[in-house]
Amino acid sequence: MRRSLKQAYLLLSPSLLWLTLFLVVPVIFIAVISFTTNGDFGAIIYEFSTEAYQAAFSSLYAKVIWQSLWWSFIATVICLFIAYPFAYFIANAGKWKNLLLLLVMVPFWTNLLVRLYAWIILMNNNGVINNFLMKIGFIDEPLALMYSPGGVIIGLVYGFLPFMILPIYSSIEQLDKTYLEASEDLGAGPIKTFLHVTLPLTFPGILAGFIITFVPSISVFVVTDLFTGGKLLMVGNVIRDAFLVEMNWQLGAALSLLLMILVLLSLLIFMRFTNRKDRKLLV
Amino acid sequence: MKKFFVFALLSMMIVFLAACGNDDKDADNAGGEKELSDELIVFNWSEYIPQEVIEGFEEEYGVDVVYSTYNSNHEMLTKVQSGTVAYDLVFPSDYYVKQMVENDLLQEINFDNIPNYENIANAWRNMPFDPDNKFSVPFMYGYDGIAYNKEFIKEAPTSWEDLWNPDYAGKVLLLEESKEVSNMVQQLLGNDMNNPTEEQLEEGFEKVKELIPNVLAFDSTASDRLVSGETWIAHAYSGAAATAWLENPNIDFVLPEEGGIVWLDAMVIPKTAKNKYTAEVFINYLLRPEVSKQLSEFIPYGNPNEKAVEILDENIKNSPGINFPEEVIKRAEWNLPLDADRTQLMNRLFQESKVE
Amino acid sequence: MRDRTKKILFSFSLLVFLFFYIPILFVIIFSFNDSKLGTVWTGFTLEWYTSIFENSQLIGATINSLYIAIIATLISTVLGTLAALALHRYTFIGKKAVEFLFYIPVVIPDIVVAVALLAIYGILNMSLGLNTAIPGHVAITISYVMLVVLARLSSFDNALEEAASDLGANGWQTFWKVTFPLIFPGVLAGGLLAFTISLDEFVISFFTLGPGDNTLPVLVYSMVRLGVSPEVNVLSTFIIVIMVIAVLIIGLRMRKGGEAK
Repeated sequence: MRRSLKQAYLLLSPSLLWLTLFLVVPVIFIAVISFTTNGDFGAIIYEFSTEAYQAAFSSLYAKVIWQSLWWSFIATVICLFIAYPFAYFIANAGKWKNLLLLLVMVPFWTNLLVRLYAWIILMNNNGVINNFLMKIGFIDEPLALMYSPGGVIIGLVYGFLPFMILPIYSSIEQLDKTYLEASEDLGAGPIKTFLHVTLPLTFPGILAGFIITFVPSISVFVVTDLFTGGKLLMVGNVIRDAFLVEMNWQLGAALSLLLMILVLLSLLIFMRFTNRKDRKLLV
Repeated sequence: MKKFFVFALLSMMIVFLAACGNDDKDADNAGGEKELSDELIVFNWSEYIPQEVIEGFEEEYGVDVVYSTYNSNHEMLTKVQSGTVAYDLVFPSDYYVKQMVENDLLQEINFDNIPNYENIANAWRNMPFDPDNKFSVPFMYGYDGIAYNKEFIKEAPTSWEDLWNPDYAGKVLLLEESKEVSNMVQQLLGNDMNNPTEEQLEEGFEKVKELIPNVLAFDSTASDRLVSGETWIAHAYSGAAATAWLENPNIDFVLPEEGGIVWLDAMVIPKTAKNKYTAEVFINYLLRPEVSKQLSEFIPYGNPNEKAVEILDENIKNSPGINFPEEVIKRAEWNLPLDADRTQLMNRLFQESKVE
Repeated sequence: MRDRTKKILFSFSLLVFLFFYIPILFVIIFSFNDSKLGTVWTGFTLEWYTSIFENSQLIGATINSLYIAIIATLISTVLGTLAALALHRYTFIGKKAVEFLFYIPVVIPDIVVAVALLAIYGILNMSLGLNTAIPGHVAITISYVMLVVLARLSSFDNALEEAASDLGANGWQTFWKVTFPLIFPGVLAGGLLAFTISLDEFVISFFTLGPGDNTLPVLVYSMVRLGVSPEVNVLSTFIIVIMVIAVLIIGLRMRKGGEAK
């Protein structure tokens, strides 16, 4: 096969074109907005101003961004520990594997809000779990299952688990069984085989899963809205509010761009620490 | 072969842009011809008009109502302002009407086409946001006040201060928006809620910080938490209290002695509307007493249509938040926006009170 | 795998399935709830099952959602897969910048894409319709497909493709006969992800859809102003039941096909 640069550009150009038109242009537009002046009643005055960035670099937003990163990180790690064995099971389910994979996705084709409300029925202070625990005399006062960082993390895990399962599944599914057998033949125990063969071979899937779970979960706002009644904030809430409630597009734009730069930079650094072989996967 | 993809993609985009781009938005709608159009594009708050009412209009007039909804004034404003949709009728709240007039987004309504306007009570005409009654027709009104559950709170609350009662720890709801919370606390402190100084804003949110340990959630839809008993007392809209009351008769609503806030959603016709006459006919239809009655039954907000109120079932007429004595109503204030600087300060203080 | 490991894995996976489906069970239970308010059980009724068929908005919105999700998924799966192939195979100038570009949709909050697209449509003097939501949906889902397929490709054995072309297959044949079957699970996973994201996308849809072209999330968001109404639960129940049946039929077919091979 001829592997010329021309072919590379041909393969890439459709998506680049699409992303340029419908993503890069909007992002540039937003970047311009972030340097304009915020007028009364949300008017956008086209005069240069760095006011939005001054506001964005405050301890308040630093704290909000930090706690968003932290909660998302914990949720992502939990997702990883749930998703890996689960994906392993599905990938090894032989003829059932496609069916099981689809059954994982079905609950996620109903609306996220509807599913989160179902959790509210279960977890609120008068909810099913609290009522049950109180009835059996296990607790006297309802537990704050929602309305707490723990609640946010449960919500994030539930919302993003499939994002971790899918890429891990697709790399486990491809695992060459002969490697595992070779390892066992050479006398390695199952744990050793897992750590030295399976895990490294499926690492690209873990990495992809980690990124597409962790990164988008940072800017989610429905979970904090519904589970904590707006009492806890993630950066997604702040950005949404800036655009839709406070009518301060400049601040929303500045925060989004800062978040974008922060996350892309940390991805870059994160990639430096992962091993060389897998780096070709990422930046 | 790969070229094919690029080509296909490019042509798709061109077709797409062409298909969407050629719409003639400058249709002349000034001509006062009284002819109904085929469709009417309505943009309204969600859960505000029951489907039967819309279907009733469609059947009677043979007009197809294209109906979509929003959840906040700003969502509505953003979309109307973008000029990407030629809405015929939208429902902004009080000062948004004024703002839309000032931004030149609205056209004058021809009241000759709306004879049923006479059903509107005098108290709801010539509102401060549209003093000459040119651009808007009142739809529903309500209050920000205190909703509470009599099962848990024996004595009716009288002041915003009651939200701070330590007995209610973890049982208090507050409204979601920073200005709403600010209005509440500024009234409590005796300041002008629509013109507080920066110091007063800071003082106000210091007070809110003290309230946070009592607060269960910030929620504009207090009804389900009130009904379930998860919340005992809420800084809430009268409509939310009335909806809760329909399911749980222990729910009541009061306006605090500091005044509370009154608001009104109005019907307006944007400049970009193509079917102005049909919109006016629709407004007239909504103002019929028997139609307006259906609206009140769907969600018991305050109805400015006095002819409709007369024929309401006793049951709905007595729902909380509707029958306040005149002196109580007069105390309630209209909300106005702050300027950009103070709005930013207020939002920051509000978020800080949550994060700390 | 040893038997004990298998058993543990099986029970663990069963628990995960429970975690997925228990909330769904409550959605189904609350579709029979008498109360209009979302989270309070007041009594049993079948009322909502009859009223839903009169609610033409819900049905229209379901169709719109599926239409947008399917088109967006098809486009982003094709484009994302092609991009992944290019990034896997070739080294070229500006590759890092391109990879960087693909991370933007994953990072950027939807609201930014939504309001910016709306503003741009406004500047271009376009009017909104059903199709104006598609560009945004595709733009945010391409990267997910690309990343998942690329992960699959990264342990792909290039020797297989080379062998095929040595045996005289042209590029097109090699792709369909060798490459595609090998990366298919990755493409499927990426496509499923894109479909799921698009089906649930609210913010972009709200701002870029025309009047009356609601999708389900847009409608559901508007219906939850008073808590999730039982009608929404009824609809979700229908979606779940129909999807599970469809999946079982497709799944069993695929299984039979698999056996035939």
